[in-house]
Formats: sequence, structure tokens, C-alpha cells
Amino acid sequence: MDRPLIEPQSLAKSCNEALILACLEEGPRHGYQIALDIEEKGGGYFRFNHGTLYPILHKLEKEGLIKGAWSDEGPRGKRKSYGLTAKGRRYVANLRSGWREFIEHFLEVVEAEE
Amino acid sequence: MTSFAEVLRPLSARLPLPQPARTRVLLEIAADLEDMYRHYRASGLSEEEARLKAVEAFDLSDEALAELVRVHTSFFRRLLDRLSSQAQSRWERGLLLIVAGTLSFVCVHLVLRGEVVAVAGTQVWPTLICGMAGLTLGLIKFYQIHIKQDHELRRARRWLDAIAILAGVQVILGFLVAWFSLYLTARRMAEDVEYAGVHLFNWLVSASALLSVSLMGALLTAMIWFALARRVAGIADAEAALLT
Repeated sequence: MDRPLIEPQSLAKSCNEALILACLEEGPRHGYQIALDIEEKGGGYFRFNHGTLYPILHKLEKEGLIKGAWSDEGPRGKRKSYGLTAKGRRYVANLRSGWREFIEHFLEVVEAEE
Repeated sequence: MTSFAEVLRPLSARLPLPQPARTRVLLEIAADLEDMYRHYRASGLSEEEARLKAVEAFDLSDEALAELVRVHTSFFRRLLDRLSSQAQSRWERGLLLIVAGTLSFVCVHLVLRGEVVAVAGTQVWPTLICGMAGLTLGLIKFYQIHIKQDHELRRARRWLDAIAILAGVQVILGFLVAWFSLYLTARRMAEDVEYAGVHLFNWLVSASALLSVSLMGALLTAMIWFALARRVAGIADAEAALLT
């Protein structure tokens, strides 16, 4: 894997990327849907400005982890939706175990010894 | 017409991306803004409240914009930014100057060695200077629009018409100088009747060479202007389609 799974120096960014990729694992979505889904499932912890979505989505698209596709939705006009690529699916699988490991280590450090 | 044009217009001005990337980004945001607005309307908010909430949710911070620009900036563009940045070291600037100077010298040398230019003589200089100015300006605009991809409309349009004017000036200068040299030749013919035919022949050769250089230069300059103007019109159309 040529891309680091988690970048501790920019944890918020890594976290947002992971949330977006995990959300897209369920199927293609429009930008605003991604933000709403994450907010809905996040129980109030992952409320982020929708404007910050675009740099992340475009970066992931450039890296080939997701693929954007324009579709004409009649009176609603053109809409761009994003879906995971095969490379993205493989990456998400690794990402999940990476985050699990990261959180385990994090808890080991912060939890008080009994 | 998109109902969020007043939000997208200032955003477009803050987004220094080349076309069509800028239009695509704005279209995507516009579509999501409208969907967000519908979502808030469906959740029971009034039109104005839904609109305000949608705009609030999609506010792109300077940091997010910079990140977006960085994502869409190619390696080549980053390299060019580095070359034209203020942060260049002295040796970098010196090297660029030497390369530009050598290229200019070689170009001028090649033009002057051309047979037609030599036959036309010194009278071709005003036309040649105009042609060189037009070509240089054309190259600068080409670099700005196609390589550096600075698609800010006001900057893209600046000096563009000067290229067309220089093309026109080359034609006018060519005919004026040829006409003036005909006057001088006529005087010479009157003073030297015995060789009047020779004088007339010499004028014909030099004037036709001069006009050939003028017209070819004007044609080339006009073609460069046309190609650049079409590209700028395309950029303007792409923005107008989205924002009006």
C-alpha cells in the first residue's frame, strides 16, 4: 500500500477520509448525502462543514480510491456522485484494521492501569 | 438559473483553478447546495431558513479552498509557479534570463537570415518589430492561459486585443512603407531616366518581399490572437453558463 493509512500529524484529516470512504462502502452517494449520512450515524461526534468535503473527495478521486460520475437527473440537473473503486475497497479493508490498531494503542496509553 | 448564483459568484472569484476544473467544482457545489436546500425544506424549514442553512453548511473556508486548489494543481503547474515565484534564488533567475536571451537571439538571427527579409532590406524593420512584439505578447499570453492556467477573466483578457492590433499594424505598415518607397523610386526614375526600368524592377522585388513579410507576420499574429481569443471566450462562456 503506497498510501499511509493514518497520519498521526493530521489526525482530523485521516479521520474524515476514513469516514467518507466507509460511508461510500455502502454505495455511491452525492457529496451532501455523504455529509448527512456521517452526521446521522456519528451521533453528533462527526459534524463537519460540508465545504470541507470537496477537497477530500477530490483528493481521494485523484488517488483512485473513489470515482466520481456525473449523471443528468432531469429537472434537478446534473449531479455528481461518488463510489468506491476496487482499489478503494481494498484500501478501506486495510483502513479498518489500521484504525482499530490505532485506537487500541491510543487506549492503552490513555487508560489508567487498574 | 441557479438559485445560489450570488454565493457561487464570489466563490468562483476565490477559486484560482483552470477551466474546466473550476466550472466542474462550482457545478458540483451548486448541485449539492440545491439538494441541501431541498433537504432542509423537507425537514420543515421556511424557504429563507433552508437557504441560509444550506449556504452556511457549504461555506468553503480559505483553508479548504487552498486544499482544493492544491489537489487540482498539476506537478507541471507547481513547477512553473516555482519558476515564476518571488522565492527564486539569484542563480535561478540568472539561468532563466540566459535561456530566454539565447532563445531570443537565435530566433532573431534565424529571421534575419531569411532570404525574403534580406531582399526587403531595412524597410522591413518596422514591420518585423511589430511582428516580434505580437509574437512575444502571444507567447506570454499562451504561457499565462495554457501553461500557467491562470483563468481569471480580467487577467486573461488583458493585452489580448493588443495582439490583434499589432497584426493590423503590420499590414498597414507594410503597405505604407511600400507606398513611400514607390515615391522614392519614382523620384529616382525621374532623375535617372536611363535606368528607370532597373529602379522599377528593384522596387518591385523589395516591395513584394516587404509585403510578403508583412502579410505573413500579420497572418501568424492574427492566428495566435484568434486561438487565444477563442480560449478566453470559452472560459467566459463556461463561467457565464454556470453563474447566469
